Amino acid sequence: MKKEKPDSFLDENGRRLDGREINELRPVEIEADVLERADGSCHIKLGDNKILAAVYGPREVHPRHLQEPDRAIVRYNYSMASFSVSDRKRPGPGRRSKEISKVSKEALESAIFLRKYPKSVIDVFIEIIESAAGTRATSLTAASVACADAGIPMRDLVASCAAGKIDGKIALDINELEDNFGEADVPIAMMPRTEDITLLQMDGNLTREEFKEAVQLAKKGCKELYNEQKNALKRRYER
Amino acid sequence: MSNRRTVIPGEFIAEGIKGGKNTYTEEGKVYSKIYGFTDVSEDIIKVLPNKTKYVPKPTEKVIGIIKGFDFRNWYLDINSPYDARLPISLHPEYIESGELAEHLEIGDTVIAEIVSVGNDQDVDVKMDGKGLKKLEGGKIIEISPSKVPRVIGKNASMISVLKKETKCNIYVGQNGRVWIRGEVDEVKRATEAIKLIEEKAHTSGLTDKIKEFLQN
Repeated sequence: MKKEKPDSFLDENGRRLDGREINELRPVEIEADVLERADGSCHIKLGDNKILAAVYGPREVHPRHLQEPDRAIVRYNYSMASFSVSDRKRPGPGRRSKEISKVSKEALESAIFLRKYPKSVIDVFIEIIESAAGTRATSLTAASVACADAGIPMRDLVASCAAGKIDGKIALDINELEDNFGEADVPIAMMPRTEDITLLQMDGNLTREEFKEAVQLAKKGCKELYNEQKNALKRRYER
Repeated sequence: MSNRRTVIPGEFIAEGIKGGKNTYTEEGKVYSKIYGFTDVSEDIIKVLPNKTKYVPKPTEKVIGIIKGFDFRNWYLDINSPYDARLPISLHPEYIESGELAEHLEIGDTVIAEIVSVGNDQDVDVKMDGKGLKKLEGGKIIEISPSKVPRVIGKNASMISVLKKETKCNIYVGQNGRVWIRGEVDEVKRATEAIKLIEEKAHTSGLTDKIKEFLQN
């Protein structure tokens, strides 16, 4: 189902097409420990996005030559299900998913105490079940919850969220239409306690001021997501 | 267990107190490294993990599964990030090199004792010792190694309840593998009970609850 470009992204009250305020996240639901066989797992719903994250490890590295003698390595596998988008996605790794896997791996790695498990690997598998813009950020949010659930030592969780530009205004957590026809998209990931940014990308054009505003707004979104991540993990043992 | 609190990685847990296991300190503030529970004792605060991989320690007895072998060693999966090595010299019988498969084959399960853990994470295990043997029959279930003390209980109270109520042979390896052998239905009941212990490990009065669960 192809969607048409709307005439305007904002109504007269400044609300967006899906009824959100300009600085509002899509409704989010996070559940930890959903898979029996994985060491850690997480299911996240953000708007129409549905993503499963599974973490295995630390475990032995195969093939052996990838092993690092003084630290663990992280393998991050971002994959979209063929039915996750409106046109069938050809399954398997492509240019886009390889890039996302690489940047996400680096973003997640910086939060993990890798030296605790030398010569081992932490495998992270991300499966996009339904995609509606912002999957790279959302999957990183899920991956860090899954890592925490697997008992991997980390400096902090990683929360990730995007800001974009629609109708000349900076908006938080842009949805599918806003992503396809909007003017810019800035996904960031950060460790909420120190506000250290671990992923920063930009698609589209922004002025310096707009860029700063977008980063500030995305940071606010990350903090809101962080609270949800925290609740999801704490809920597990408060029954 | 009133002083226990669920914490997540990076969460601030205390100030002006020494950080113990699974914590890190920045500017005098103690933060958690992992997802678990805080545990305060005197002047030290540590975090007990919810789930964790097994970290081998010498003298601990574990349940290993044979993954492979060469001329002189077997390699065992001990539910840890690193495989363990069992040299033929540490097997109770005299074995000619190259005849390893006649004694232990791939897929066999054994109770082994950790001998040493090297700097480069080499783990050596032995099988000549009291209670170390190949496990015949039964089934293996896996629980988080951090929950092993709960399954055994104080002075082995929990494990004796399990054994008594289900009439099964049960062995709990320190690496979180549990071997159960007995009547089919009883094994099923024991498995359910152990899963229940794992799930409720953070609550108190667990031995009585399990007793009740098994008697009904």
